[in-house]
Amino acid sequence: MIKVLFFGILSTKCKTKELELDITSAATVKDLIAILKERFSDMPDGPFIIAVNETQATLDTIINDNDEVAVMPPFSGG
Amino acid sequence: MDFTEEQIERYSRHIILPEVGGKGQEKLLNAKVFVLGAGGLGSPALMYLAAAGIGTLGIADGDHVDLSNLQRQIIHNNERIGMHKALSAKKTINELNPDVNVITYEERLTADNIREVLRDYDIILDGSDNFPTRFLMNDACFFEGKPLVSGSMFRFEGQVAVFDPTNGEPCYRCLYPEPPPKGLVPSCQEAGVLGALAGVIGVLQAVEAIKIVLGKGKPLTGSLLIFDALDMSFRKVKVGKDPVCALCSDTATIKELITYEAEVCEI
Repeated sequence: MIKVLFFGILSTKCKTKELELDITSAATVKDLIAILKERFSDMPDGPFIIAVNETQATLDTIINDNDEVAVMPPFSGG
Repeated sequence: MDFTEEQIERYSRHIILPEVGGKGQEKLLNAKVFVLGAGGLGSPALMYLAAAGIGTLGIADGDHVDLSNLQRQIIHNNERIGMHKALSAKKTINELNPDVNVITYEERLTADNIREVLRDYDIILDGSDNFPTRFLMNDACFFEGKPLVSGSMFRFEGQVAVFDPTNGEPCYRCLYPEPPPKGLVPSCQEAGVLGALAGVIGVLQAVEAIKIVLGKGKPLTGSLLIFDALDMSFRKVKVGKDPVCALCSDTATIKELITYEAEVCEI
């Protein structure tokens, strides 16, 4: 089980701030994005950065059981 | 530098700190900090920078004070409605601390003038309210070799980071290469924003700028701080340089400032 956190406009578009997911072993960030986009049809393509366990990840980063994945878009307000 | 008796008293709580002392306070009084936007983030940031005795503060804002600003833009007040925000901010700062020399730019900075303005300052704070300006600021700071203390907000959430690509750290484009498509991320005007959130994020920007001037502690370079007021949670995410960043990598393609089209409904 992994935990996914949505920030900013992503939590609005996906209508949740946090969810838990079962993923197959050796799934990558790219695989996870595909799963999320299938589940949340309004999820935008980006821009956002993805952090796995509070470190910025790339599309190839492997996600392990119990990892926490944060999906963070930029904010414009000032 | 010789402090006046009034300065010794005014800055006594700083001077007594071993990390600041007389030398640190002198650094603050000699520092030049530029703040883009005397709005939600700029208001609290400017007030604490001024109180700290930052010797020169540059303020750029092309807008006038509006009643709907006063829920969060605490450097202004009811009597200043209709006044240029940069001038209103200057008035508050002059009343708070006469040591501070305030330079105002009552205009929206553009690709044509921003580099020349930033050149005169040591540290830049971004308190702007739209993506085209955020990318313009990032690129201009990179070209001028200035550290950028970035703050931004969305409803109950805020982000803070220090971008310093000249010193090997990531820039804003390493995190977000291009502005989002128009209409994806609503502005504060469209989405709303918690007024006190602006205080939290703007003051964090001031803290980072003061730390950089003093050369003390660890600035938020290579990190993105995310604050969620509803959960009262701070999350510090490690971020790295994008090896193919279009601005600050060895394979950079951006060689001059880009003017992105303003969003539709920006404030």
